[in-house]
Amino acid sequence: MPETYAVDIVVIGGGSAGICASVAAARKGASVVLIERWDKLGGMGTLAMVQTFCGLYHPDVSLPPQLANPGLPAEIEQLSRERTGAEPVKMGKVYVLPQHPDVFASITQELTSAESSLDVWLNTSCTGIAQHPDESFTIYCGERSVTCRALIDTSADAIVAGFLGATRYSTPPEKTQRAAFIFSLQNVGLSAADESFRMRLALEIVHAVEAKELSRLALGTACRASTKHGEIFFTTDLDPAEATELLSQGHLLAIQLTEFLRRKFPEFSEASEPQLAAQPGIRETFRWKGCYTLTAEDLIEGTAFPDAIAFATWPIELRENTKGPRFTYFNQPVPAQIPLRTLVSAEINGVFFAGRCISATHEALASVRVMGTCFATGQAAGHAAVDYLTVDKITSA
Amino acid sequence: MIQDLVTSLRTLIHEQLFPLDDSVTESSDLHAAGLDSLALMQLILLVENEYSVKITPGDLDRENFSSLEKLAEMIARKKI
Repeated sequence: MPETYAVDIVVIGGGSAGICASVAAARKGASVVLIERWDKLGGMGTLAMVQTFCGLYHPDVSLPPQLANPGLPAEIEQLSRERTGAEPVKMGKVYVLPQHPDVFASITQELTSAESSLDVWLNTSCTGIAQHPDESFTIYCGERSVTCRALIDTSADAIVAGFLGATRYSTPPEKTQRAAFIFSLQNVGLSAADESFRMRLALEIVHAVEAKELSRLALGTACRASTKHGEIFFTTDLDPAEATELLSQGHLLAIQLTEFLRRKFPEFSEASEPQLAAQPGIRETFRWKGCYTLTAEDLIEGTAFPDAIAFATWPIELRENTKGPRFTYFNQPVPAQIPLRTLVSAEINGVFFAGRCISATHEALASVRVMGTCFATGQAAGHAAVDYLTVDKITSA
Repeated sequence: MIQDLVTSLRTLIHEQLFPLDDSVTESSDLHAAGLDSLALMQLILLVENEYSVKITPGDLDRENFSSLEKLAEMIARKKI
């Protein structure tokens, strides 16, 4: 029998942005349903096994690490540090926080279950959305449905725009950010921080590719240290145009690389079977048209906005080809402002968005897409949705 | 010979790997200019194909890949 629920706010997508949006709204007293299509929360930080939080810290690395955004981003940073024991590290011209997907899965579970007015619907796909004449929404999830007065899209793919027929943007395939597939190996007898290992790995991969023992895709492999002893993460670089085959390509490559590592490096002879990410690491798909579209110039030149609600700190990191990332840093090493208008639909009342589908150009998204910034835009969208329900109207400048 | 190698390496890296502007001299740190582990693989591939040399585990000294000049010297040694 169909079940129907009614709440103040529905959040679609339980990744970094969705967790913060739903918890922030619940803490302000709203009743919230968070819909997640996978069996756990955390998105890129758990399902795709992205093991680094970027965008958490102030961009001036001549100073000790300072958090750029208060509230949930700071809480999550604190919890992650306590649980993994990892402290922020300087990587080139930025600070990052190494994190662990298993630990982040627990943190997301704890943060959401602590809110009595927040229900999390896991393993739930959104199958339709309707907006009614009184501007309320019904979200259909197979047999279940839920009505609400404000809707937050943290799906990363702007799926709400797809259902409601609103404008959404994408980037031409040749410029779309490359995707990643991550896996980990345990029971390894060395650390990924060992530079001589990293250089030898690079050489052995090149020679194995030349000898056709490994696919050319292996040339995009990078290794990363884990916060767990004896574990190493491997990131591979894939073409996002292969959308439907990304996962199977990633799995095959992980199995090939594991076999190769066991053969070439004695430290890997006892390595576990690869732990495969459930989702590919996607950097760019669809984004909303908001009341304002954030640009690279806004970030680089530090545009001041009267409605700033979050700070971006990550450089513009473009990965459009197989040659690796290209970074553009802000002119001044200070956090850049993100205005509320980038999280508010220009076309549909009551719709907000956060995370990777905010209103930003291709270049600006290359900064604001990272998890640390998604926490901040998520929290801001949660607050904005509650304000909208309270004052019943939002001032779009 | 080293100078010629430096010049051709600069062009090769600039065109195929990562931008090298005028501030990058023959002794500048290539790691700082963008030589991460992905670029290192591409660089090994390029050097082996372009100069018909085979890089061996013994060449994998950070020093050998530290600047255009050191890289050119390593290639020159291997070509003899």
